[in-house]
Amino acid sequence: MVVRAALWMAMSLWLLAGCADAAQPLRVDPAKPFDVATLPPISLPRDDAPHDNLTEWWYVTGHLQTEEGHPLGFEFVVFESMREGAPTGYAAHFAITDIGQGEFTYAERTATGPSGPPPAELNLCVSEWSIRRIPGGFSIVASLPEAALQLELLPTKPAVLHNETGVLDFSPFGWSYYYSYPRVDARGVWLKEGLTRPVQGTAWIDHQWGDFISVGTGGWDWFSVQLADGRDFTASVVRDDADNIVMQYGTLVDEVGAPRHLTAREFSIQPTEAWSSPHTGATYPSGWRIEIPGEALRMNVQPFLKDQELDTRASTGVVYWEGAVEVTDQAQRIGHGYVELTGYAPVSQLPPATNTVAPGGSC
Amino acid sequence: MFRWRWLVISLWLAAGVVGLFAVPQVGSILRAGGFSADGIEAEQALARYEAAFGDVGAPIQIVFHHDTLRANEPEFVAQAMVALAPLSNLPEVTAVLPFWDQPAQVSPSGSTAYAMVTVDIEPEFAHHIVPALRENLGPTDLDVHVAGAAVFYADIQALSEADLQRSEAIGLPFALITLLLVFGSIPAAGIPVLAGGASVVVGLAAIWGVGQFTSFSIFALNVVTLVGLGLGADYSLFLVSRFREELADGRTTAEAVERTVATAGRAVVFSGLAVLTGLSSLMIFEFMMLRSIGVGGAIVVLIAMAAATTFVPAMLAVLGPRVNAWRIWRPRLGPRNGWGRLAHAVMRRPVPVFLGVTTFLVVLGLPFLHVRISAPDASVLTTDAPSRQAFDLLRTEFGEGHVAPLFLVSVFPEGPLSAEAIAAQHRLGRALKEDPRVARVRGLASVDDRITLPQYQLLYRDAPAIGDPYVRAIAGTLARGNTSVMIVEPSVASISPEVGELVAAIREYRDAEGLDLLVGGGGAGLTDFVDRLYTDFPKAVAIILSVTFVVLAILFRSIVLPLKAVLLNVLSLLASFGALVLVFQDGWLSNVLRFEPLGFIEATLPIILFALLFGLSMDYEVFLLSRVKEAYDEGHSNTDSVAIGLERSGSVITSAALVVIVVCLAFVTADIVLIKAVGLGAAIAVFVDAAIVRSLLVPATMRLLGRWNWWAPRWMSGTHRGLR
Repeated sequence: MVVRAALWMAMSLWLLAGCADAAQPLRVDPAKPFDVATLPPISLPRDDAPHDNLTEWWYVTGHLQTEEGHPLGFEFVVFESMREGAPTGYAAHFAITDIGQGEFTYAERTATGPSGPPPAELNLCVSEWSIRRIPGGFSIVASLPEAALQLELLPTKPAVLHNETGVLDFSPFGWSYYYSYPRVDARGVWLKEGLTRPVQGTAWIDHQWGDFISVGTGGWDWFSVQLADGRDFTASVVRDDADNIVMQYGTLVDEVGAPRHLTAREFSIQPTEAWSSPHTGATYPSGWRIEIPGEALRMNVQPFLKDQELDTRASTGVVYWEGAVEVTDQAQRIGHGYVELTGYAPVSQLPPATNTVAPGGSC
Repeated sequence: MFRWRWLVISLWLAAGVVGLFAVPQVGSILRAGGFSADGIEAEQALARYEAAFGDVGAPIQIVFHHDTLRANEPEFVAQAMVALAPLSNLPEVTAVLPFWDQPAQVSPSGSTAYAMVTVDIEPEFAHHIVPALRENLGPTDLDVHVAGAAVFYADIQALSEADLQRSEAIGLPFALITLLLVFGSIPAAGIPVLAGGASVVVGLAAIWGVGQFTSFSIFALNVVTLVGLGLGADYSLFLVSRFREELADGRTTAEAVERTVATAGRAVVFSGLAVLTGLSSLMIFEFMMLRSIGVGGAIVVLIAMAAATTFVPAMLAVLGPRVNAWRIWRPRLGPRNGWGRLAHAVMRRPVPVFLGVTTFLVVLGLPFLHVRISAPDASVLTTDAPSRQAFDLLRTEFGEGHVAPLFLVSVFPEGPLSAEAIAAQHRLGRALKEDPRVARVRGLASVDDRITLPQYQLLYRDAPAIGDPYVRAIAGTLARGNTSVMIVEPSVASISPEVGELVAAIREYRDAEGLDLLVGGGGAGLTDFVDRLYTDFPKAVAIILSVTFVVLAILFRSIVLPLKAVLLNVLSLLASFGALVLVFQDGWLSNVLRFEPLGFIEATLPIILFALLFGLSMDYEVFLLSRVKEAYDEGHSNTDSVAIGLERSGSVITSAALVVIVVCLAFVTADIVLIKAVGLGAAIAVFVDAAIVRSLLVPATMRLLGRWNWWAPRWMSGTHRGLR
C-alpha cells in the first residue's frame, strides 16, 4: 500500500509536469488569390455610401466662380480606412486655389469612428468637415483658417464606371471599385474674410473603394478634364519604381454621359514642363500634352498655379500635388480640370514635417 | 539556562522592542510579482523586447468608460483630458499615452478606452504609486478605473495587510483560549502566546533587515506570520507541558528546566530542523515569490526554535511552580489518559486499521488526480476590489486576451520590415488567425486579412516613409532595429489550459520554421512559470524527503522509522491536497468560506503547502516517536513502547495541534484565496496528521513492522545517545 501511495504521488507529479502539451499544432493553408470576377456589380445610389473595405475615398474637385466672376478651384477629399478590429480612421484634405488672387491654401483633418459595419448612408464628418448624400446629389462643408466652403453638388450626368465594369484589379496588391460623377453642378457659398459670397460652378466626384492600400511602387498621375464641348475625360497612370508605367487607363464621357473606356494604347500623356517645390524640394511634372487619336482630341494641360502641393504627412502620410488646371488646344481654352500627382516626393527624402493635426470626431 | 534566565529574558525583550519599531516598516520592502525568472522563455522574450524597444517599466492603465458617449467623441476626449492632466505633474510619471493617438486602446464598442501611464519606478515597487495616481485624477463625468499589474499588487498588498491584521486579531485570542483550556492556568497559557508573538515580531523585524539585501514578496508576510505564530506557540506548548510534567514528578525548577530543554527542547530542535528543511527547499526555486517565502519561513522557524529553547526555558525558570498559578480550571492532562488504550486497541488489529485508514486517506486524496494547476490573474481578487473591477471591464470590452496578450518577439538579421521577414510574419500571423484559440493578432503583417502579402511588402518597402497612417503606427509600435513583436490575444482567459497549449504550438511552429522567435506575455509567462515550478518541484520534494529522512535517522538511530514517517507524511499531505482541490478548485464550501472558486489550484499552493506542511506535520511524528523511543530505550517492548509513547504525548500533541489548527483557521478568513488556502490546507493537514495518522496509522504500522522499526546498520547504532 505504501508503494502504491508512492507511485500515486509520482503519477500526480508527472501529470502536473505534462500539463502544457500542444494538443493542436498551428496550421497554415496556402493563400488563395482573390478573384475580382466574384465581386458584385456597382449599384447606385446604394454604393455612394461607405463600405467595409480597407480603403475608400470620396474625391470632389471643381471650378467655381463668385457672382463677380472671381475664379476658384477646390479639392475636398475624405478618406476612410477600415482595419480589422480597429476603430475606423478618417482623414480629409481641403484646398482652395484662388485663381484670381494666385493663392493656394489647404488644410487637413483626422478623426476616428467606431469599428464595425459602416453606415448605410453617406454621412461622414471629419471633425467639423462633412460630406453627405442629399436628395439628388451631395453636400460638402469644409474650412480653412480664414475661409470656408459650403456646396450642394448635383450630378448632371450619370455616374460612369471606369474600366467598363467599375472594377480595377491591382493584383497582387488588391482591387478596387471606381466610378465617377464627371459633371456635377456645384452651388453654394464661399466665406472669406468675413464675407459670404455665393459661388457656382462645375465639380467632379470620384468614389473609389476596395481592399488595397497602395498600388504601384512609384505613384500615380490622375487627370480629370471637363471640356467646353460637354465631354469629360479622366485618366490614371500608375508607375513603378523605375518610372515604368504599369497601368494606364482612361474614360471619355460624351455630352450625354455615355462612357468610353480607353486603354493605354488609345491615348497618350506627355509631360511638357516640370516644377520644383520650394517647400519640399520635390520635382513634379507641371504641364502635359494629352492626345486621344481615336477621338481627334488634343489637350494641353497647364496648372493655374505651379504651387499646389499638399504636405499631408500629418493625416495621410504623403506629400502630393493636386491642383486646378487649364486645358487648351492651339492656344484656345477648351476646358478645365484637376490633376493629382503622387510618388514625386518620397517622404523618406524630405525634411521633417512641420504640420500637425489634432484628431476630431466623426459622425 | 537557569543561571542566565534574566539575561535571556532581557535580550528577548530588547529584541521585541526593536522588532516593534521595525515591523511597521516591513511593508516598504515587500515587492510585487516574483513570478519570473531569467531562465524561462517568457522572461527572455521580455528581455529581448526591452533590449529593442526600451524598458517596459510598469505600465498602468487609466480606463475610461461611458454608457452613451463614445471614445471618438470630443466630449469623451475632453473629459478624459481633464482627468489625465494632473497626472503629468506627478514626478514619478514619465509619460501618458492617450487613447486618441492609439486606436488599439479604444474598445470595439467605443464606450471604453484607456490611457497608458508609465512611471519611473521599478516594476516591483510600482504598486506604491497607485494611491497617488488615484488621488490625482482630475474630475470627470466618465467612469474611471486604474488598472494594471501594479494596481493588482497594490490591492493585494492592502488586502494582505488587512488579512494579516484580521488573522492576528482572531488567531491570537483563540490560541490563548485554546491554551487556557489546555493548561488551565494563565502563566502556562501565556508563555506560548508570548513566544508565538515574539517569534512573529522578531521574525518580521529580521525579515525587514534581510530585506535590505534581498527581495521579499508581498505574499511572504502572511505565510511568515502564520508559521511564526503557529510554531512559536506549538514549540512552547511542548516545553511548558514537559516542564509541568517534570515539576509534577518532584523535580526542582532548575532540574525541571534542564530536563525540559534536554528532552522537549531537543525534540523541538529536530522538529524545527524538519520544518526548516521543508521551507528552505523553497529557496531552490528561481522565483522570488517562493524563494522569499522560503527565506522568510526559515528565518521565522529559526527564531521560533530559538524562542522555544531560550526564551521559554528562561520564563519557566523565573516562574517555577508559579507556572501553574492563577488556575482557571484543572484540565485532565498527564500520562494517564485514553491514548494508551487506543494504541493497544489499534495494535490488536493492525492490518484492518492500516488498510482502512490508508484507504480513507487515499480516497481523501483522490480529487488531487483531477487537479488543474494554473497561475493567478486579477480574478483571484474579490469582485469589489478596484483592480478586479478594472480587469473585468477591460476583459468585457476588449476581450479575454487583450488584458494579457502573448508577445512573440522575433529577430530578423535583415530587419523585420524586409520582404523575407514580412513573408515569415505574414505566414505565422495567418496560422495564428486561423487557430480557434486566438481572438486577435496584431503584427506587422497581421493588420488585416484583406491585405495581401505583396501589399504588406510594398507598404514596408520604404520603412521611414510608410504612407498608410495605420500601418505606419503599427510599424512604429511593433518594429525596432532588427526586432519585431507580434501581439496575440487569445480567445480564452490566459489562465486556461488552452493558452498553455497555444504557447506550446507556437513554439513548435517556431522550431519547425526555424524562426528566431521567443514567446512571452501573459499566458506564456504563466505556462513557463508553472512548467518551471513543476520541473523544480520534484527536486524540492527529493530534498525535503531525503533531509527529513536523514534528520530522523540520526534522531531515532533507525532506517525504518524515518522511512515510515516520511511515507505516512506524504500520505497525509496528499489527503489534504485532495481536500484543497475539492474546496478551491471545485468550489465545495465556497459559500461558507466566502470565495469565488477559481476552477484551478494556484500553482504555488501545492509547493508552499508541501514545503510548509511536511515539516509541520512531521512535528507530531517527531514528538510521538521521541516518546516511543524513550520508552523503547527504557527497555519496553515495541508494542508497549508505542502505547507508552502515545499515552505520554497524546494530550500534548492534541493540544499543540489544536493551537496550530486555530491559528491556521484564523487565516481562512483572508480575502486572498492563496492565503485562505494555505490556512485551510495547513489546518487540514495538521488535523489529519494529529487525529488520524498519529493515533491510528502510526501504531498500526509500528505494530506491523515490529522489531524492524528499530533496525539500523551496525555503524549507526551506538553513535547516538538517543533521547532520555
